[in-house]
Amino acid sequence: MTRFIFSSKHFSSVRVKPDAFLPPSDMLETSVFRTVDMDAPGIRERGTLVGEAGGRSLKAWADVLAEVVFDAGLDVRPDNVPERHAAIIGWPREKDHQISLAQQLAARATLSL
Amino acid sequence: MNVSTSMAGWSAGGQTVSDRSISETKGVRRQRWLMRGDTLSIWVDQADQAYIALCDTAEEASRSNWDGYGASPVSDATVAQGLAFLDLLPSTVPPPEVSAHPDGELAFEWWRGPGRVLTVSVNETGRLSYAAMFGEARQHGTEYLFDAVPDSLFQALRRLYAHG
Repeated sequence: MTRFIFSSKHFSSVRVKPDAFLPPSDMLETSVFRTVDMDAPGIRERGTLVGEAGGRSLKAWADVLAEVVFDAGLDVRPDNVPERHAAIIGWPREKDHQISLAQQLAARATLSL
Repeated sequence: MNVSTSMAGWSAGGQTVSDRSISETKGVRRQRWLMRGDTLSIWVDQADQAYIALCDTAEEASRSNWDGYGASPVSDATVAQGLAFLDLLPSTVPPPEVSAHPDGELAFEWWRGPGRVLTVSVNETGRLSYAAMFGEARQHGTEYLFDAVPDSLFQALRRLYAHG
């Protein structure tokens, strides 16, 4: 799965930061896209379009396997709205616990610039 | 090297600061905060990357949806708490990386390599939410910012830097 990143503070030259995976406080869902059968140019194009819809430019993206999400005790809910969209769900309400889970995701994510 | 950063409307600790100097207890770093009208100017005698990064982060995250996913903006009160947190860090502590979270909190991170990280976020009330990874071991909790960095965070930092 791919998490598109639109903030320069959510990654460095060598890693994805946990911040990139944290959910917004009003929904507790992290938006991702299923890209397992897509090449890098295709992923970049999809991320650019997603960003444009939100008025932001794509800075990078993070790929994380579904098993990493499950290992962290979270779940994935595909909804295909828009196409290929899914959400990482099951986040706890406690902020410190959220950060801990985001760290686990980031530690096993792959960054693409 | 002098670096000047202007941030309209922000002050430390929720109060207007007319003049404040921080002494050599923080090592060679010295800050002088001036309030001129509606502008808070931060002067640093020596490049302080964490303070500069906080300014940059606060600027980038000052508007709604700054992350493209509906993030809340970082408020002036949160910036003040973030500055206070940096102010309380001893000069012996390595400077953290600074970022913002989608809930509008400011975050400070010390990263020592894959699987070794400490993240502390602060909100506008001074609540500190922290989490740490030390390989397979993890810890997380909540503290509040008063007049010193909580001991639990110092313990986590010591453990993070204990193994080279």
